[in-house]
Amino acid sequence: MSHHYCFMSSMFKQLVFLCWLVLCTNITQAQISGLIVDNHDHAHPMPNANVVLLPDSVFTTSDDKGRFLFSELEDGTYELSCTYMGFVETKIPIEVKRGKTPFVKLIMEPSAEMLETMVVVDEHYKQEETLQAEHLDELFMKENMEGTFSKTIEKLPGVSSINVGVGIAKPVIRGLSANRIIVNQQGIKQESQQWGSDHGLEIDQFDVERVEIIKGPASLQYGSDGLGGVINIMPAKLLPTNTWKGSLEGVYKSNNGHWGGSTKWGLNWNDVFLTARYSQQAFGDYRVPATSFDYNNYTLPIFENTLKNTAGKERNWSIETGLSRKWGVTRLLLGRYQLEAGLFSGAVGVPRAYALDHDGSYRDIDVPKQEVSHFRTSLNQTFLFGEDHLAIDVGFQRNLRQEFSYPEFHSIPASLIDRNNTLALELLLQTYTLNAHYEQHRSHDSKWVYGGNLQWQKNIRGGFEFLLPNFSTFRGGIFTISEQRVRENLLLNAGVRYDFGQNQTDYFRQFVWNSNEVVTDSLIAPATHDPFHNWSASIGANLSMGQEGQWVMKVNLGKSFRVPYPSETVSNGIHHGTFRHEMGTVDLKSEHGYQFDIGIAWELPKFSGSIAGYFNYFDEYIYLGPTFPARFSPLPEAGQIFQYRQDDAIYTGGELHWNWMINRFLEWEQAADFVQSYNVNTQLALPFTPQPSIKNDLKFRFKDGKYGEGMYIGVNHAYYMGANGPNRIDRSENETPAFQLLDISAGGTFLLRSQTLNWKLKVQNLLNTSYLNHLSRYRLINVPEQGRNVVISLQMPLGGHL
Amino acid sequence: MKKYHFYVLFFLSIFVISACGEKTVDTEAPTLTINSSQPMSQSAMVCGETEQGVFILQGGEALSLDLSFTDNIALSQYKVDIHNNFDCHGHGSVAAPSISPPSGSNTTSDWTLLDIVDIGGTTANISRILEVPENVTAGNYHFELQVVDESGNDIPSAYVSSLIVTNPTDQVAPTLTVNEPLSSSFSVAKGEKVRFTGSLTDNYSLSEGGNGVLFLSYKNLSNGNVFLSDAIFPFDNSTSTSYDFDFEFTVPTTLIAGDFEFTLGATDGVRNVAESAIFKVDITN
Repeated sequence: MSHHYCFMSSMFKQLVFLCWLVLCTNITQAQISGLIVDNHDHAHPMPNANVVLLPDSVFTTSDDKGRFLFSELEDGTYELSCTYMGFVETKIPIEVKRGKTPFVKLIMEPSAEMLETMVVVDEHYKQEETLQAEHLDELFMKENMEGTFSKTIEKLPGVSSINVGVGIAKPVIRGLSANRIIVNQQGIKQESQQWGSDHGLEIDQFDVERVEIIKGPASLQYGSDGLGGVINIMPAKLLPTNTWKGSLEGVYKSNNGHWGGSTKWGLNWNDVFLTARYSQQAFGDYRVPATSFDYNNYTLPIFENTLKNTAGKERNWSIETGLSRKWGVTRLLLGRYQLEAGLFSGAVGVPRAYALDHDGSYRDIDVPKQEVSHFRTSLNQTFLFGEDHLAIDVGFQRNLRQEFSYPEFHSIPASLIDRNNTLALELLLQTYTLNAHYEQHRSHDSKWVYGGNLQWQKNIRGGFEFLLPNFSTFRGGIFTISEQRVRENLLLNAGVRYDFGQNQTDYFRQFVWNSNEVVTDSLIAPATHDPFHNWSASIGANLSMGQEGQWVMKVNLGKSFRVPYPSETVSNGIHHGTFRHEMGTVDLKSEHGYQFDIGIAWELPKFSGSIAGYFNYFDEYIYLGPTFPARFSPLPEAGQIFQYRQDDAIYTGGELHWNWMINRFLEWEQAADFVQSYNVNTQLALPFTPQPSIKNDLKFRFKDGKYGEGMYIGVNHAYYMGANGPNRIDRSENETPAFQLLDISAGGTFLLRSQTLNWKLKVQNLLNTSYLNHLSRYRLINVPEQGRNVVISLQMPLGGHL
Repeated sequence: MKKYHFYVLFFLSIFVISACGEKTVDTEAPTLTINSSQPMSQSAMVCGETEQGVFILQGGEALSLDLSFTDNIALSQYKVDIHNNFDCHGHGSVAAPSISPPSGSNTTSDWTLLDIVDIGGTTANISRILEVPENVTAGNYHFELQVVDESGNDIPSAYVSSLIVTNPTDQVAPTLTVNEPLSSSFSVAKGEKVRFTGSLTDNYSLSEGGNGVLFLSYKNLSNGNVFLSDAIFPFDNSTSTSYDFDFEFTVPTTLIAGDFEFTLGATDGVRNVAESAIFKVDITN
């Protein structure tokens, strides 16, 4: 119970703090606040729009949620003028009386001229009107940038990440991850051995400008793996005709000597466009606020507070080209992500002091390590037929994953050992994808979408260790979604989908030898040939309430299913990332989800936010756990066997997120989330359930001019509840104590001659707190997370007319 | 006050969910106790560090253990795992801080044991006699004991200790004498040759047992990486109690210039390890 008391006291402190803030912020003078939305784009907020208050000619730009604020105003008549490239200038007269604060909603119409020359269909997830969705733009990504994309989006309520050190991370949405989350990059589902808990996302975070995150069952449009959610990394907005744009950015992080840089150049010449980006990052071993860690009965040293062999480097490029015409838009994308990252020497197997000695360098990447190279190319074609459109995506991905370690002396005969060959595990996964959908507007209030997906992939194994055999998979599905506006403020949507999937795996046998060159056992993966098929469906509603539609309620009920992946059916061996003997179960059935979620979002002049709750019941949920009765692995040095098994499971929880503009300077944002998982059979939580958290951000924005534009300073506090007891952790997991973190940040824009320069400074883990993260791979051996880290980043946007 | 309501309601629900339910789910790990052992464990040097709880044994002897396992519900299995630690691995596939050249033709036996035994009930008292092979390969070994209960509660590697094992025929390590290079620190350019001469002497055969080898390894001091060179000289049957060496090692041109540590190591027939000769080498372009 101890954490409850602790939690209560922190809640009490927050309430006191809240009251204090209210008292301190008495506003007497008038303000004008407002929201800028795009009429063309489903009334989405428009960030970075220019707003001028006349006759004073005071100028501001809208924030990332499309909001703006003018303050210190006298009573009188004003005029607001809003401009945005590609949209018609909008003017609104405003009367300020007796210090009252008017709220203005400016609806921007796309300019006719722009529509004629540039026809852009902005692809969104089709169900997002009734599911909980988050939209992130470049500004959010820049202001919250962490070591990896997954870590950056962790700031959102309901989103967390599974980390291995600082360079490898994968996203978790409402407790679900890996094969239950779809990550779409420019419309193509990323396929990269995402089943492994130590396998990160292959995303260049500099290259992420627009993201849409769907929390909830989103398999209708993209396929059965989307039952946990979808992360859509959307293509950057097209440049306006006959302009060019460039960007230079650099980032430095003190904790691990991280240097990163990225540059992007693009142009649009008569609606033929070409954009290219190159990014590179390198980081050293990271430091933790500890000089030792306890593992079982041993206290093991951490030399110089530095985790040996956690350095890494990343090198990525991408090119996009295409054209925009009256009949549609063509985009061709090519890109490659490359990562080389070391694994903490103590994290692979049982750590011993002599393996943790300093190796002479904080920047070298030694064995054990992983190397990943992900190449992708896709062609996105949209054809316009009046209001309707047809979109086709064709993609190819080649994911080469290599895990290096010294040959196991114990399972390979000495005469076969080649010490120079440290390639333990190689997985080469090649995926071909074809998606198509047709969106039909039968009337203003009725929209239908018909579509389908095909995906074929092949995996080829290599290396002296065995985990997964060669396999190929096929996935195919057809769907239809209908969206009906039954009343001005009520939108209903419903959809059905049918999927067919097939896994074909090859037979493989790996002998296990002892050091006397005697075969003691063998690991076998049987050949399998399993077809799966099933249906999914979803029904949802979106209800706007209030005079201006400031309150929106979303409700969704879905039935989804997921086809088991070959890693879950035929893997057999020690997985290096987890150092456990993991074994597939050949006759796994499909997993079915019955998912309900409800949320209310509000957009008031100074107070916006959302609250959401969900309840997911999974029939035959697939997870990795002990067999019954538990058995030991016959492999040397391995503990018990963890086998993929199926039990009914419940995932339920909620999120709260609000943003309060306390006055013209002060903004308070709070995000809280909570996931409860329950395994109906074992009566325990499921593994990797995120710790509930409350995050508070207090931001003070300076008046423009004095310190450049958009300058802010902020304090961020995060409290994570402990993961302990049968309600929070699975049997194979360790208890993780509660912790809190304090960050401070500042940022802004200033002019250097006539060149704009965006800067940002952030101190992460200001108090150098030593804490454990329940979702960290290194948590298993009690190694604390990264210590204090000063992050400095600079960005220089360039651009002009051709 | 609407916002406070949401706030309070939300966290109240967290409270209720997390506080409810006292279940009788078995999450208690089984226990493992070594009541007594013959011989007793002691502290000893293993891989350059002092370790507690080390068993020192000779080929033909036995390690007798009196073990107790307990669980609150039901035990399932225990596992005994003995394997060599010739390369000083930290366990698993951690980067080996030292090099152990594989010997493919030894006639000694490594002590290996991988025994999984079913046990049941809530208490199991087990007496185990673990016999060291008569003609055992001398060196450091790891000894692990693990236990798991029926529902899968365990203490991963609850017990790991080191074993120092000697061969009854020969317990004396050979002596390495180096004549050339004359100095223990020198400088050499990439592609150049370094000549090593000297001798290895032992009280007993350097070849009998098949583990006898002289080898050169090098370590890049800037990053700590250790490599085995191609200078590996296994001793054939003609080698008796002394071995004279005279070989040239060509510094690979692929190395990055800088500070290196060259190590000349040797083992005798049953794998007693000689004290290595270590050279500080400045490799230039």
